[in-house]
Amino acid sequence: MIKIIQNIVVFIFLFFGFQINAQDAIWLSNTPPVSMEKKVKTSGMHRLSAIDSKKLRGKPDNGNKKKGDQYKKIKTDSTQKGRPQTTVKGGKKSYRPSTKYLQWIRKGNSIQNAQYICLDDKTDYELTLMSPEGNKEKIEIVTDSICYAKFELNEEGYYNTYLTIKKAVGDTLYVNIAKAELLNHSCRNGHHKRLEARPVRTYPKIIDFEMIRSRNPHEDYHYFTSSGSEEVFKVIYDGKPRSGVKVTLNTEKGWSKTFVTDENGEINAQFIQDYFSKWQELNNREIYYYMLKADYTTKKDIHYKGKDYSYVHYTLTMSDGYRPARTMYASMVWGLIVFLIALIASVAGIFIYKERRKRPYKEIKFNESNN
Amino acid sequence: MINATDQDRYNRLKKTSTIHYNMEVNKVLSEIIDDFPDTLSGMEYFYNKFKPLEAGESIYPKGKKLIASMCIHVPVELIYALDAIPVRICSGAYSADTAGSDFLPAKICPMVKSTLGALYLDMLPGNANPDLIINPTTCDQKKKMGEMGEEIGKEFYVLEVPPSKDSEEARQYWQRTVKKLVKKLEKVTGNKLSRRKLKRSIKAVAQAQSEFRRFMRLRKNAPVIFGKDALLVTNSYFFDDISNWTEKLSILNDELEERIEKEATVTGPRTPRILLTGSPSIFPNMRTPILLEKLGGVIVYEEFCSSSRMISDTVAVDEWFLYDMVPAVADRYLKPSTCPNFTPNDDRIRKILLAMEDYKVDGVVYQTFTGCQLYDMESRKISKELEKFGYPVLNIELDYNPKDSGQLTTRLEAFLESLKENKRKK
Amino acid sequence: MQKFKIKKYIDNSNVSRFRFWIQLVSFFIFVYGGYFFIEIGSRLPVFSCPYASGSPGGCYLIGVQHELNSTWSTIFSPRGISILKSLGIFFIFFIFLNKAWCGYVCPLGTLQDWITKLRKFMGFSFVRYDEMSFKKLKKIKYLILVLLILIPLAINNSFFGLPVLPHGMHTPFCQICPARIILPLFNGDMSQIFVDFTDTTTIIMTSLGLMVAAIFLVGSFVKKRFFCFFCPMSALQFLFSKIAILRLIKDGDKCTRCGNCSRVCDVGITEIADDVLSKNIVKDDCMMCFKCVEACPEEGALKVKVVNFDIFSATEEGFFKRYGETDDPEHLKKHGLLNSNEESKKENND
Repeated sequence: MIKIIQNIVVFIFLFFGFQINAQDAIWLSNTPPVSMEKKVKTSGMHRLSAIDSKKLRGKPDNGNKKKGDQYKKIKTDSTQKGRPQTTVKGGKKSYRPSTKYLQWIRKGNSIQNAQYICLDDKTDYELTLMSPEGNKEKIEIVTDSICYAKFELNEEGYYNTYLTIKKAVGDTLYVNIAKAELLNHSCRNGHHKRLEARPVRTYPKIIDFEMIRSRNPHEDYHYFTSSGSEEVFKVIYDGKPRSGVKVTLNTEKGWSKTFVTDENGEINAQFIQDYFSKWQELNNREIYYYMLKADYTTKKDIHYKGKDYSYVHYTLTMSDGYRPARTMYASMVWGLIVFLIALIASVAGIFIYKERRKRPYKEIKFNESNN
Repeated sequence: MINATDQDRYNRLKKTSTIHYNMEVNKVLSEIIDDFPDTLSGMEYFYNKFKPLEAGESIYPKGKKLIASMCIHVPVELIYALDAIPVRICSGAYSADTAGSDFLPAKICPMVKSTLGALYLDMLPGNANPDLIINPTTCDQKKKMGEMGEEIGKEFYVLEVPPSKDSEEARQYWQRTVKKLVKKLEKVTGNKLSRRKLKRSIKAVAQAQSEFRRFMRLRKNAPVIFGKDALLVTNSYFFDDISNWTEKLSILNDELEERIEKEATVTGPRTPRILLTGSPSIFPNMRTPILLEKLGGVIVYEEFCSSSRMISDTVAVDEWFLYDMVPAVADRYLKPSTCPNFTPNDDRIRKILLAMEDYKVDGVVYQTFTGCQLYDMESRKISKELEKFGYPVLNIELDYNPKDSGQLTTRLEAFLESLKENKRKK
Repeated sequence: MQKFKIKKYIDNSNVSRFRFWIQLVSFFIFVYGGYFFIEIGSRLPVFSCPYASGSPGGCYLIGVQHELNSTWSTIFSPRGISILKSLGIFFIFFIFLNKAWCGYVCPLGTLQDWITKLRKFMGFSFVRYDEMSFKKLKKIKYLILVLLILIPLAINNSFFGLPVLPHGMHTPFCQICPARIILPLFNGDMSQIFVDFTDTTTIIMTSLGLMVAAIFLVGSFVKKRFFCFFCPMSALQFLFSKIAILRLIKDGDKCTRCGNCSRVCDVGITEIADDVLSKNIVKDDCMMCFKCVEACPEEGALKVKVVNFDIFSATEEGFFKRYGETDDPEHLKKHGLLNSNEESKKENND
């Protein structure tokens, strides 16, 4: 009898644990919750959110020295690389007030309904920000009514954020990795380097289960996935591509599709708009978000917090967006029509102008003979 | 039109005038050639161009129309392009001057009277018989001369020259006039203006200009040629075939270059260098230059419309099509012109000042013909400007009458003396 | 002696032909250079449009518009030093060639010159602005320059309490610039010929851009260097033109005001001929192609200098070499223009 109850309890525990982990993925999002929408301004092509710094007009942000009490630092990264924050008075170094970008943690498979959650002290999590050059950058986590991660992007290129949450259930270690690829580029800084985005970096020493979006040939920093385009996502485990991994793609309105990675570890996903907004609301900068989730269980002996586990279950999420197809808002036919009309109109205009204006010696026109 | 007695009178007048003209020509030629030592061999050709009138056919080739013109504002390139021959009939003959006095008041420009007389008596050099006479409305005298055409039995074509050259309107007006001229010339010659021909004629005239500029460049040094000879060279441009003229001038230039190298100058180093300006000296009215040089000066630059002004300025064409070539030619005959009939005429002062520097001129002789109001009026302004810079100026007034030489000689002598003094002081 | 020989060679040379080759090479570099890994910089004083994928850099105007697309607080903060820094880079690029960037390097200018050649080939005549139109029209480039500075500012900041401009006008000059539409065509990219229907602003701006491109093509056909008259880059360059290294100097004393220089000037500047007092004769429309120096027959009246060192001056000999050389000198030398009846008949039948 006790054995049955034990099994049921274990079963229920496993079931719910499994459900929790299988169904409610945790992912990183760039869009603010409604309560924070006013405090935040979005910028750039990828709509990265940042604190609206109007209140901090002209005042340099001195980091934690002056306003340290407001922010409770839960966990920061050990190595602090990045720009030293000097005060304006003392420092002679050129000072650039940097923008603090924000990301939120959401839980749930549905993009529209996923909740914004906070991570409490009991959860074992680690938040890493990797710069394009491969440096670990500093991240603060701000606990307010809503928690968010705050960081600076000082280099130009793709940054990767990794939120790793580990949880042990039974003899399996559940590792939930929420990843985000952020592009930091502003045309006003010029295009010093070749515009082509560099190949994607992976960090096998830090993150062993990874999924990347393969760059298209000749892709540059102005590239944005658009509806109708195909993207290739590659799953990498232990530094090598992994086949047979189940990847689920969820779009905003709830459409989802499951893929399995092929022998190169890749899946081909074609993004198609799943809803069409009203004509007046359509704009060329609208982003439709999607969330990719990869699940993978492997038999691996691992030691975690004093105990041994024989299975590891990885769940990797990555959320990004795609734009409406160019043909939705840009018409080349109309463009050509406008161009041709203007051409004909200006030629006609010149003729009429020449005829109308009094050109006194126009009555004499020479016959250009080629004698 | 003319009855029998008038005809007799005309014939007699013509005969006497011809005789007088020939005497004049011979006298002047002998003065120019014989009274000066050391003639240049290259000048032979140019001396031979100036001959006394002989009865007979015109020397100009038949089959081509002869277009006569006065003034430097008639575009020569257009005439050449239409296979016609341009002849400038501004006359310097005193004999024709007396004949012309019948038509115009005595006290007006002798050059105009002389030209009128020459036309009336058919005494043009080379027995020219022009098919068209172009009369530009530059100075008052020329304007009114055109009205005498009917009386003397010749037809004038009026070329309207604007009284100013600075404004946009003047430029447009002039371009329109030139286009009308082209139409008239096409009618007279029976040819059509074609691109290739106009291009060729522009380049031919450019060759002439190039040689002439070289000639003037050579005169900047120690003098190897007298001003009287230079004036003959430019005067022959009035009626000579342009490519022959260019060729012979080129030979003359080579000779001058040799002379410069050998330092065979025609005068000493202390001879005052003179700039001659004002009403133009036209053969055979060469009194001023001959006297000046006989009395010990040397003319290095003449700012005459019978000399440098006629040939110096150039035509620059951007696109070699008629729509650009004709306006380019027209522009050349208007914009750089320093003829006093344009107002304002600051360009003339600047040109003279530049020449003073470039040619190391010691003094300026400004001659005005009696009745030439324009040059007379400008003389004051120019004298003042030159005196500001410390250059001595002599203003003389004369007409074609050769008997007036006495006073002229005295004045020129005095002037040259003072110039020599200045030179010695320096 | 060597120095004189070189100087004489240069003074007699045909600068227009030299310029044609330089323009060709520059066009290749600034439109296709990106494919060959050529990187020049993104603050260039010519229209090397970054919308064209082969561009080796970017024109300065797009940088200015992006930089000024900020709030006052950002601009006046230390971050705004980047605005001065990019202006400094532009200035350093600029002072070496002064406005010869326009005449020798700019791909858009080269394009206009090629269209002019096409017009010449087809035998059409060209248009010149008369004095009054010239004076009125030349102010437009300053207006465009002021607008391209003010509009990005007005998107982020409110001027005198007026509403801010819509974001769709973020790079206003780029949206109307003909280079954005035409230069990518040389890279096989027709994607810039479109009308963006996102909102009214984008519809208007993209349509305007296409209309300007059409007017550019037609205008360049009838007038030489039509666009250069309205170019804001030209206005911006003129602000620094006086202190540049390459100079065009006129000696007014030697000038006879014959007008050859302004007659051959593509842009139609009359001050080169008429102004005998100024030394530095580069006006705001000038693109330093030096056709005027080529056409000047007066020795030393116009000179091209690098600081105070002459590199090309107007000479008599040079002028006659360029404009006086006949196409058949033999004919002229032997036969002359006017000759016997047979010759003239032959010419008439030619």
